[in-house]
Amino acid sequence: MPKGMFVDTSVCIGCKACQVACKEWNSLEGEPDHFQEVDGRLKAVNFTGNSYDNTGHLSATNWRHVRFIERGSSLEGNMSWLMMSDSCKHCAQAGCLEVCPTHALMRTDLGNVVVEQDVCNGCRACIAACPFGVISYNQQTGRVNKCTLCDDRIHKGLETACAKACPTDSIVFGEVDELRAQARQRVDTLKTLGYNKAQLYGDTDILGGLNVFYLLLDDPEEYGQPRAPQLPQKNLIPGSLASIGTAIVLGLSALIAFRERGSNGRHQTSTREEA
Amino acid sequence: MPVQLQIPEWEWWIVWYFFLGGIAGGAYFTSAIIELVGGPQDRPIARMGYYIAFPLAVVCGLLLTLDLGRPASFWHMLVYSRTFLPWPVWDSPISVGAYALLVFGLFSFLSFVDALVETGRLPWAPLREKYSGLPRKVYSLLGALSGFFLASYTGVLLATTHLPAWSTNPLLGALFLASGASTGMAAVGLGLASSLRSGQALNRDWIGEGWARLKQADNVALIVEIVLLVLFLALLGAAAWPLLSGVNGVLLIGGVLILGLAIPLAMQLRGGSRRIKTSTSPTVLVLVLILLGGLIMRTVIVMGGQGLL
Repeated sequence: MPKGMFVDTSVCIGCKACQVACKEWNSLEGEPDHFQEVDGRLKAVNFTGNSYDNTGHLSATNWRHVRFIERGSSLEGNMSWLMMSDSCKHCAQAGCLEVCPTHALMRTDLGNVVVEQDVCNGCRACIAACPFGVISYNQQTGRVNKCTLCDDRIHKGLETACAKACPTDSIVFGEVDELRAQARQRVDTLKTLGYNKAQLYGDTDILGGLNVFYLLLDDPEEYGQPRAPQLPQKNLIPGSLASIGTAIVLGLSALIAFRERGSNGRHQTSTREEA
Repeated sequence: MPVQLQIPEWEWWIVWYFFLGGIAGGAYFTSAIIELVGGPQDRPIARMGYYIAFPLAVVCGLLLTLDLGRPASFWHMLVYSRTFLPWPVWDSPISVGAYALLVFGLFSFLSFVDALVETGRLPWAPLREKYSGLPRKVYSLLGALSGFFLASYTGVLLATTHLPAWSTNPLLGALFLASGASTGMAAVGLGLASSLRSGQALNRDWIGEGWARLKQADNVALIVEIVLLVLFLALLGAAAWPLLSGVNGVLLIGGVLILGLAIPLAMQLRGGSRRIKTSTSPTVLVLVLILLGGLIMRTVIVMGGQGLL
């Protein structure tokens, strides 16, 4: 049975304990863009200026990112936040895995998608194939990185580091089917409490189901997530057919241009030989 | 809040690979067609395409390797490192493209050596005997098919991503193919012009007449490319903005559509059918414009599509 995580954004308090736990367990360095050495000391630079979010985006050294979406205005007294602890979704139909030419991206027996670092050669096809902007190029190693669903931990029977660290159980690790049942109940509860837009993001309707899925309090776009992501291969057959059609047109035009010439040329040559 | 898509940071290595791969495929295809239906007097034109295709295929392999984050691991594209056996990924344009480049390299090498043997530049007698026994038309046809693939898969590769400027419609493969054909023919034309100027060509009239025929095919390629480029941009809708705003727009409309496609087409059509029997040399300026247009198009689409230009 595939393992995954249910991320209930309605109880996320934006503490970023998940981010820290992820960094610690996976020995991820500080974001290179955010540190500069001044007089022998590291100085933090490049503040985003966006709410309490100074991470900005997922990267090779940030495999988890808590998004802060501010709405309303404190001046008008209707200020509110949406928060979402974002990471790789370990899609059942994973575009990254399908485009990887080296088989470096692989799915384990527990359903999580990992990058085999010794196989990856840094072609970066997977980066463009991910509809969620999860996979990142690591300038230092020349390879790509992303969340592994704590592959080492879960294969030893432990939960993921982020789920372990979450103080509100906003991130819950477990078997995907059980988590989905739990999540559907939670959506029903929230709706009865008046959260009419509460919805599951990543049930079986998206890319065959996201093994890491979310309960959102508003539309996916509000959280910077695509509403209906598709596999990048959607263009493979139409694109190939359009190319074949063009090849036929161009091939025929060249054939026609030279066909008459060929028969004339052979005729000229044979006439000369006869002479 | 917009989706925070990441970009693969494909830059100049890839731009040049796409451009030169298109030329290699287009030039080989041109030669193969001449091989298949042209007359014996067209052999110099066919050989010119072969002289161009194989060296460019080698350069393409190098560019593709240099772009990797781990160039020394390039062989992982072709051989699975656990079994040391080939294991293509049919859903991955990069994987199939790497094999196609290998196949194209093989056929273009055969044709390249064939051309050298035929002209006596490789005067080794056993090679000459062996080559006369090889089915030249068969491997030309196979090479042309792989060349066509090489010229178009790069566009399909971009279309099978999530970057809006590349993937909102599936026409990039067809567009790159048409561009590969037009730039490939232009490269053959430049090679012929060069050989005419240096006095190496055996028969100026035959080459001139052959080029005039080639120009007919080239005009079709230019028309197809213009139609596809306009269609591609129109169908992108709002996603075309990164390609059409600022310098990118000037380059794509001014540099590609007008200077690289429309003006060369108009100049070639003006020369028209009257020149078929009397033409002596391709117009170098037209060919250079076509090549530049192809390079600018790859640059704007690849770099501009990622917001890098």
